[in-house]
Amino acid sequence: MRLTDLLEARLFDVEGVDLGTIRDVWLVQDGPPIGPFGAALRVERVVAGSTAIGSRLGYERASMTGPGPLAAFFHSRHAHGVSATWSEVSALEEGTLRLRLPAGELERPESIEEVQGHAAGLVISAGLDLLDRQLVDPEGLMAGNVDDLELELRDGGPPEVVAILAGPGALARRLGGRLGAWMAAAHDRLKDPDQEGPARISFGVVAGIGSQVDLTVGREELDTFEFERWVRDHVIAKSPGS
Amino acid sequence: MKKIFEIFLGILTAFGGFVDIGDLVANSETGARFGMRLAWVVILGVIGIVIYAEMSGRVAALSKRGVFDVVRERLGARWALVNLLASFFINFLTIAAEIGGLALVIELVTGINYLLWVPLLGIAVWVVLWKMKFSIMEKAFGLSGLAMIVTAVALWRLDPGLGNTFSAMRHFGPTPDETWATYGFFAIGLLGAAMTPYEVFFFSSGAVEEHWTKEDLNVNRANVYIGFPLGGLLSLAIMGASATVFAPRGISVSHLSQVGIPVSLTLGKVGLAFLLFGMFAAIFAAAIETSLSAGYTVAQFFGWQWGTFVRPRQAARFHLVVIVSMLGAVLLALTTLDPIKITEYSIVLAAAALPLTYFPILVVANDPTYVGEKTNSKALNAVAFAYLVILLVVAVATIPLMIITRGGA
Repeated sequence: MRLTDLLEARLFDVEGVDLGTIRDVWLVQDGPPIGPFGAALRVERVVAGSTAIGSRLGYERASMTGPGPLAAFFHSRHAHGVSATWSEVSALEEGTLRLRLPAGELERPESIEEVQGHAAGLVISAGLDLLDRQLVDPEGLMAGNVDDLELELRDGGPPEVVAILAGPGALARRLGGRLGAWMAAAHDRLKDPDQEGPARISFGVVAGIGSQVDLTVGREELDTFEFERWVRDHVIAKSPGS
Repeated sequence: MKKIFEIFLGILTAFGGFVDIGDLVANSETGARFGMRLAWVVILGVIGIVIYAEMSGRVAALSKRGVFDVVRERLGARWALVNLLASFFINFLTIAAEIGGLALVIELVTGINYLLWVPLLGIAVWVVLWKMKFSIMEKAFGLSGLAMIVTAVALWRLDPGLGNTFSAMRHFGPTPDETWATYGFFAIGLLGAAMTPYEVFFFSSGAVEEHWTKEDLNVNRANVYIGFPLGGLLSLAIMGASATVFAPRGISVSHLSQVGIPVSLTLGKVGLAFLLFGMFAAIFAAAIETSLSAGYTVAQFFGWQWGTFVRPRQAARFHLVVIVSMLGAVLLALTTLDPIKITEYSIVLAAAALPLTYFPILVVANDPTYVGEKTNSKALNAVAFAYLVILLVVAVATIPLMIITRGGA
């Protein structure tokens, strides 16, 4: 499963009330250890509703206080959207997520900091802190963006983040529509035949998450480097002084 | 001492490099048609670019993120792609306009048709950005652009005390023979020329190119708070000179050579030589900036390595985008489409595309995870938010006004 599968799903409560599209997923770092990153990230909450876009913009943090009108709107109680923990989810089907209780019984945390207060590990917003962020290798060279995340469903427990998906193979689904289909087809044709699906970077090699996502492996070892290498060897390296 | 010199140099570079083909065309044209009645838009535009460039420079210095990184991170893949397509297209038109403008300057000097110079100048710009160190090329061309100050001297000669020129600024609204629609259309053009999106793409990426850190925030502030307004004054001088010489005679500006007339009238051939040298340098700088911006935007959207702070072979796709964009722009300039017309369209469309770029900058400049304690002050947020509202209105009004006025005809 990909993060995008969750982000495009609609949330329904036990009575079938439509709670809107899921806009963000909050993760908590308390899973089994993977590589240098430490404990794996697991899905803690899904955030839904039109105003939940504020979560993607950073306004679920109490520390985000400006500009005034935007902060006032997104910090107001009714603009928090609906959020549900994974334990409140009863079923995940194609494009829909069903809760095991009515919407009225969901608790509504004021901010991501409040959720952090009761969590066993670091709580981050997948949409804000991971998705679309720059990947940087140990030498400081840029290695693609986090175009999507690969999640693995565990028996009974919440899904775990196992890998970063990067490059056109993953971006295509994000864009959707005809352009996405075209990008996916182009990627399928041009990619290394041994590679299946989009370029995949194990989450174990993540060294840190800040304004960029740092990796512990060099970019040349990643599948995302294929096209860059081709352009380098066939075009740029042929120009004098490259 | 070294720091002070660096700050001073930065101010002069920002000053000399502020005016590009868009500012030259927009200010000369509106000066001739509306006198100084649209001067307030230049001031509005300069304040806008000052505050948003400062934010983008601060974010870049503190988080190493260029503006299009931030656009992608906050708007998500789809809306960022919409912005990329719009910004890239406008930037592409701007590259063609700058290269065409450079060729026109050379035509003025040599008398040989500009079309011959277009491919040669395309190659010259590419060689400079491929080989020259970033800080050197930025400073060399920015400082040379200062020669355009002769326009301010010419304006002073035409109107000592500047009383007549600036008293006309008090009139709001179009002159009797113009409509509100053309007034609005040219206002948008002036705003777009002062605030073109490539300026923040280039300024923020340049901060990363020059490895700015927290220590360079005062350089950032000096550049934008002092350098940009001085550049804005130069824009106003160009408008004023045009308003003084052309407006009373009912002459409209439709060719780049006319920009030089107020200067050659008052300061003769030497003045004109200075002006042409300054124009060439400033437009050359802008040609480099727009070409690099084509690469910055695409590479940052996709997460590719970008910048001239690494060797070209380490940022292969970035350089490929730059080369292809420049090649396309040279071909566009060679179609004999009037470079002045291309410029007009690029600045008007630029104004319409601004909200999608400025909104994420404003959000991130408030986010402590990017800028730590250096988040926006309340006053800055109030002004920046007001600009966002203005730009949204402008974005909605642009295309209808373009149709009503038939491109400002």
